[in-house]
Amino acid sequence: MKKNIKKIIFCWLFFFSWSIYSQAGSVDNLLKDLPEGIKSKYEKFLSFETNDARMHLSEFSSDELEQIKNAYEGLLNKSGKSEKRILWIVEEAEARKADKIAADRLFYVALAVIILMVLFTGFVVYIYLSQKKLFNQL
Amino acid sequence: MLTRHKDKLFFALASFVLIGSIALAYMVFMWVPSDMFQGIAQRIFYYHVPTAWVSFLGFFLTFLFSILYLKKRDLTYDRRGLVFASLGWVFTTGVMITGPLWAKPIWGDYWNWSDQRLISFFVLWLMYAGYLIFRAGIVEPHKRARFSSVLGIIAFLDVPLVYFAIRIWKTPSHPQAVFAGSKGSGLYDPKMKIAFFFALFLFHAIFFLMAWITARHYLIKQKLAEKESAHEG
Repeated sequence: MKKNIKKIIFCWLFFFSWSIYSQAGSVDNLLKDLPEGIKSKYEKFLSFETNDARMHLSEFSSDELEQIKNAYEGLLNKSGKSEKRILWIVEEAEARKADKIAADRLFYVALAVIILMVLFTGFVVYIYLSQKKLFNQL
Repeated sequence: MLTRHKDKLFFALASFVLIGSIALAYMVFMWVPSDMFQGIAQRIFYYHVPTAWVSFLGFFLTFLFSILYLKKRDLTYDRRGLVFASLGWVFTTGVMITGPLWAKPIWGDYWNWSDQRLISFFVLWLMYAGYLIFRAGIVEPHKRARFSSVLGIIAFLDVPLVYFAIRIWKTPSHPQAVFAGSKGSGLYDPKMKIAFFFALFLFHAIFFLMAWITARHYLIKQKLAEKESAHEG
């Protein structure tokens, strides 16, 4: 019985440390898959404090972000499928949020342009009609 | 001969404004990249800033013709001052509309009473509204021109205050000015610069086209007033 408990604890410790090791190693694996230019940028990004890191996301171009994402997805292909599904869920949630924000902003831009054009055209039409009226009085 | 030449110029300007407006809409909605931080909302910038710029030009010309009137006492200068003050006010109204429409998705509110750029601009809008209302209340032409000229000069003093408000009070909420060497104006992409300077050029054309139409209107109005006063006399 005691031997069995020892075996169980050993097995648990082995799998626990292996999973920790594989998680820690995923960053190194990701670095291996990235092109040189992005690798240094990515390493710099990892070095930032958690609170500041999000602010530095804008330093990546859209193309670089796509390449990092693809490399990470490639890594996830090797591990269990649940991580990849979580990534899809995060991607979908972010895409829907971005769509809503973009639609809202587009509405305000279109409204601003339309109102401005109506204002200028309205002014010109008002002047033209008043002018016509004045011409008749002359 | 001169009238025909003027008509051709007028139609050329009007055609450019029409085609240019379509081209600008294409550039703004389809061609320029979205801003990294503000996304699509930043595209209002291509209409908002040139409108503000041109309104300043209108007030500067009013200021210039006000000085000329006070110096030469010629009602032509007063009439020209009125043309540019009216247009300046219309363009300022445009700025007052497009600004809050940019602010709503970015700040979450249409207006920020603690932003000195906004307050000084609102004061500018009120002053020229006052200028136009004030004029309507005085019948005697030279008396009206004299008071309007003084008001046109005083009101213009707010224009540099509006422009430099960002630097004087260091308002963090308002984007930085495009000219006079400030960083963070948002024009970091060459396409953004092309679209912006095209918009600036187009808005000058719109301004002068509207000035042409308005000048003719006030000229007829003045002639009618002269005819009426001669008739009464």
